[in-house]
Amino acid sequence: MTSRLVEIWVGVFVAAGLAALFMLAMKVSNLSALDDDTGYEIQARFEDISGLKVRSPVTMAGVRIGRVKDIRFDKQTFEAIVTMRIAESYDTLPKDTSARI
Amino acid sequence: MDWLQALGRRGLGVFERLGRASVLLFNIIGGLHTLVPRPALVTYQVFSVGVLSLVIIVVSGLFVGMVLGLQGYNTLVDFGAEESLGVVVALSLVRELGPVVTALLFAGRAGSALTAEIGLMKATEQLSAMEMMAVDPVRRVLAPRFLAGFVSMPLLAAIFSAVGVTGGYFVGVGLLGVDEGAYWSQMQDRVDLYDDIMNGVVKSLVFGAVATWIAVFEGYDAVPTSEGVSRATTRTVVQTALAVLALDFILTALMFGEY
Repeated sequence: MTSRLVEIWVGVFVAAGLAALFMLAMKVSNLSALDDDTGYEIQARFEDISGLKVRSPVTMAGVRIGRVKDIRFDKQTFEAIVTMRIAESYDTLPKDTSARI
Repeated sequence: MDWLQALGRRGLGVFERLGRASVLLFNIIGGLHTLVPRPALVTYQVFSVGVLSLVIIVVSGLFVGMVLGLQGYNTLVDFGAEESLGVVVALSLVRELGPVVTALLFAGRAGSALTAEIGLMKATEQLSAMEMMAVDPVRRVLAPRFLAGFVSMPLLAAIFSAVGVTGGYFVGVGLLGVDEGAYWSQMQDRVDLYDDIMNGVVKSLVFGAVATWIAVFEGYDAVPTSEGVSRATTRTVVQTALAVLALDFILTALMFGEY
């Protein structure tokens, strides 16, 4: 087999491998979902977060508008402080909006 | 007393081999820089190790994914949770089956060939001839093969997982009637790029290094007779399988365990 053909095949192989990785990243995992660096943060206090995890989706009327960024425990009030990052396009939340798990 | 001595001799033998294998690995890694001016050596090995393994990897990946789709559906449908089929298929493939099955197939398809090739080179005194010409066989013969295996394994594992997820899609959505949107969206919701996919890639990198290390060492260390080469080839496949499965448990405990 000529070395040109070998090199072409190796090129095809490497390209196919990278394409497979790319497909896993974009199609299988949640990389394509909401960019975490845009938008604004809000905090909410809960008595019990029952299984809530960082990166869990934040939804309004069932529509995903953001993600949980950070979960912390407040030593003074014995409550959980959940920081959420909300996408920029949803910047019209009313002031008296409440959150629920 | 005799059996105690035999046991001791065996133990010493194991450590001696382990020591020689480690020294060889250091020599190979130390010789990798000599490949920079000669990339064609690696290219040819990636062809024989990676490209020629593509068919078995793609076919196995497709069938493993299809079986996962069938089995997962049959279990999940009892709980009314067949929408989660995508999650089951993708997580099993990306975390476990992709890296592990690829490594096992790799040992059978490429590792045995590497051992046999290097062992025959030794038996026919090609390696000694190289040394006579002041060409270091570790750098000229072993290093490119090791690098090729190390590079090829993660790519093969990624192809395996991607084809498997597609196979699960064919069976789940095409054959069994799972909702197409649910299959992909539940998958995207639950599979994490770093926790799942990157850990799978790390696993396959480790397996690639170990599998090629064993193959190359067994070939280089083979008794230079036809019987010795045949034994070395068998040992490559057996030891790679054991090493991959044991390492998989350790890596999984480190990556996904709660401690």
